[in-house]
Amino acid sequence: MNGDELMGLLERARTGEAEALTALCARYYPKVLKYMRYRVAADLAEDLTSEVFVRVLKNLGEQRGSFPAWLFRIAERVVVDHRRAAGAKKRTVMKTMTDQHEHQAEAKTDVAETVAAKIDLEQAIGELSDDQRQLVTLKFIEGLGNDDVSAIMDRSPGAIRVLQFRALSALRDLLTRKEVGYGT
Amino acid sequence: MEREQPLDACLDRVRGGQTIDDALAEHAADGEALRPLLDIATRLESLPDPNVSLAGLMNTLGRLGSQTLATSRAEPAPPKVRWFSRPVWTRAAAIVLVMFLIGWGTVNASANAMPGDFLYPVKLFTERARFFLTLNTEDQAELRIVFSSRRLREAVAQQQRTGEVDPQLLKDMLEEARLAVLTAPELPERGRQLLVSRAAYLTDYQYDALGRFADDGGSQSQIVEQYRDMCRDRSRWMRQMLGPVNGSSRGSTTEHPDRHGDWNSWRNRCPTW
Repeated sequence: MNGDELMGLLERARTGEAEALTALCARYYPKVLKYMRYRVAADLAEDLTSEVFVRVLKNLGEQRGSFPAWLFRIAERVVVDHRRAAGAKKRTVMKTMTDQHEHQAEAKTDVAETVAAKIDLEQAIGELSDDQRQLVTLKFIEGLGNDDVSAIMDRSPGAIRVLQFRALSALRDLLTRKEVGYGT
Repeated sequence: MEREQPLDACLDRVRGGQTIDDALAEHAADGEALRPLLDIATRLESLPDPNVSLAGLMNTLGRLGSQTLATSRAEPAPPKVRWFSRPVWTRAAAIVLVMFLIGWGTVNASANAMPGDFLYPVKLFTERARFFLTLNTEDQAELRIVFSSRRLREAVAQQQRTGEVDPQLLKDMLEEARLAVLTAPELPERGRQLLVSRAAYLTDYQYDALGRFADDGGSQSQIVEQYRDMCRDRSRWMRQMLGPVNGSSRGSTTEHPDRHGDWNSWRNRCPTW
């Protein structure tokens, strides 16, 4: 979907057109779900994704500028509100995803090495600091540009570059430690 | 020297399609330090998408419907607001909510809904949801072909019911078929031939159906003729990339010189309004 198509869809959705709202939801649901999978425990991801779209509907009239940036700001606010309500400082993520991959690894030994590498990477993401994990999710897993990431995280582009460097360096160190741990 | 800026520049280049080696060429001094970071970034970008459950999506649509209903109740309403005077979205959202609550029976019931029917918006919802949950380009093209066939069937049913044909349905019918065929260059050879072949036969069938609409002489006959001309032009265009077709009424029966030509340049020649 190009920028013009998205603008048209948003215009129609703001007027309450049912098909446009549904299309918008269907288009962005997988992206928000993916974001949630890396921000909260896997069993909460669907519920919180749902909550994001309820808030989108409530506030769509006030949306300006980049829609993905606005959407993921709402998603992050939902994460923060959930943590506050749950009294949890941090939730370790991706247990379910890891279980799923472990299951796949047992079932398909020929791809076990690749799956194991993904598990390591996902576990390493879970061990990053909260802001590093948010940046990694937005920039590399969601594929957003620096401008959108900067707007969502409310930091300058320079600060985003620094955080990006630190996040990738931390991942490198975590993955190296895992490899050493495996004796490779 | 700070490495944040060179890393960011290299990431942009890799995202733009360069290899890690090419991206690092201008930063040879930092190459050793940056390479593992670029490698990790690439691995992050190739992590698999989560499985999206249709139930999860429908739950969300149901909540949106519920939210819309709650909002419309909170707004000062004129006295004796009746269900049928509510906005289309409110009604449709409520339908989705009910649909979720009572299960898939409603989805199935809506499958045969026609324009103007109560469940027609549900049918469109379901189609869109299905389309957006389909990640494979070939399957998406297949769905568009199905949608195009449905729009024709709906146009026929409506014409039989009211004596008039809805030009918007015909336009949607042509657009779905066009969008399906435009994906052909992205498919493997066998898949693209099959797709274009199916779309060409569908377009021929639509051409015939539009001929019957035009013969009935409704008030929209001029527009129907225009759409019919478009069907004819597109059928010829599609058959440029197919083999000889025996007995085709409108397609070329001889091998077109562009048969082995470039699919992308063929795509750019799609007849448009």
